[in-house]
Amino acid sequence: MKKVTRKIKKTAVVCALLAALAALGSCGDPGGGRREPIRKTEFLLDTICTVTVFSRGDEKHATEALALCAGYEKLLSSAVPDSEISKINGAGGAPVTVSDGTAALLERAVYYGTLSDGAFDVTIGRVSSLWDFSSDSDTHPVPEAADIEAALPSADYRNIELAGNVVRLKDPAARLDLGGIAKGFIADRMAEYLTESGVRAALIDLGGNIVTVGGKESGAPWTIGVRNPAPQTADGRSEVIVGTIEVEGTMSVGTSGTYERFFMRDGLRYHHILDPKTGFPVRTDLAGVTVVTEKSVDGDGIATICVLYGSERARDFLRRNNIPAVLVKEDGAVIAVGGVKYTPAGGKG
Amino acid sequence: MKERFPTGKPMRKADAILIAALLIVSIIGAVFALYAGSYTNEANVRVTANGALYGVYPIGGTREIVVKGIYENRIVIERDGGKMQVRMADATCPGKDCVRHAPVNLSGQCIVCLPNRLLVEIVGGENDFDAFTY
Repeated sequence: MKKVTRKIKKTAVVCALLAALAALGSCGDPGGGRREPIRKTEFLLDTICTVTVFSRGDEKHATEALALCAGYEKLLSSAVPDSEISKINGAGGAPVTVSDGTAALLERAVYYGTLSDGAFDVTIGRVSSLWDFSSDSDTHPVPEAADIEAALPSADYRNIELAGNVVRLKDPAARLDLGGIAKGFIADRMAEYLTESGVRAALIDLGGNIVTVGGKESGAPWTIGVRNPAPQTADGRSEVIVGTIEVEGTMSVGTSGTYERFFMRDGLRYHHILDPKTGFPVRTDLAGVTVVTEKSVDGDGIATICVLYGSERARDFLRRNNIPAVLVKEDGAVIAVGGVKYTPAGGKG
Repeated sequence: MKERFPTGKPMRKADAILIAALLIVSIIGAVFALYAGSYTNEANVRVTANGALYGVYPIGGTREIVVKGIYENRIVIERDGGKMQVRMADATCPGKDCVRHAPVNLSGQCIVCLPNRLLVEIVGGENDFDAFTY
């Protein structure tokens, strides 16, 4: 009888102990083994910018990374009157000494101008200033063809003369607009900062341009959803994503599309990716292009070039250069190239 | 009278204290875990206006949220077919990009009204992916 009593007592204690341990275990790791990410968000670069970290200790680095982004915006935006880009634009063709960052970005911009034989051109500023795709406007006038004609000759990336940190626009009428490449450049600087600060896992999202930093604690790859340019299907269901892309380590997953910034006028859709040859929104069969690159500045440039090229030329270009990418056509067809780790949504989403 | 085990033997005081203490710890832990679990595993709609938290709303039921800033935005949480979604039903901002934005229903998605500096995002909840590119 005594033996039975002791056994019951022992069982009760063991049960209580196990319950306590289980409960304490849950306390330390709420969310069933998944850590709640810490997101820091700011309205910068005329979009929404977010840095996500996964450890409380990294929170200050997320805030600092966004401060870095704000600093670069002041340096690189043509909309900021005393930015280095505004100084170059206002110099009337005189040489301007710029910081290392601006010089490096301009060097990249010229590279993509050369690579695409002028399809991608950051000297399109005079033309792009005729257009207004901003959400602050309700008028969105379509520029006069004559004004575009007059502005077009100044759009030529070969007008950028770069010698070390000294920049000169050979055509004083040319204006720089780095909208197609600056976000990527800034995201790279933010990723560098986070890595140097010892952050082991983070996500940078500058208006839909994603940079993954480090790796997840679980060791699983980062999974990035590719937004469906036309989320409403014919039968009324909404498909938010076309599929997902998996990447590992610090990588950029960047998208250029004709569906994010546009306005409608007389039944026509005017989107923000301008063709430097015509000064009008480029006619393309691609709604969006998502590319996977090590550096986001390259992703930005390549994705925009692909939209400008259209699906056939873009596919050849990506294959030739072995760049993983997902092309979403206007008709909804999706093309995965360059060995991208892409999984179609398959009815999910 | 002393508490007795079913065997009829009296329970020692030390045993009783130990079992009681462990049970209390378990209950507190379980309550915390349940609370924390519900917070992280269920999706909520978080509204941030001009950089400050405006409110967090469960995505479980139909709801309308009106945010007044420089402009006014009307956010609707509703059922669309089988699943809940969030959309910007109306806004007085000039461009109305936010109203044209497709409804969102997955954790991590957001709708932004830049002129009103308004961010509507789905937070928490389980997701098959870490971020969206667009």
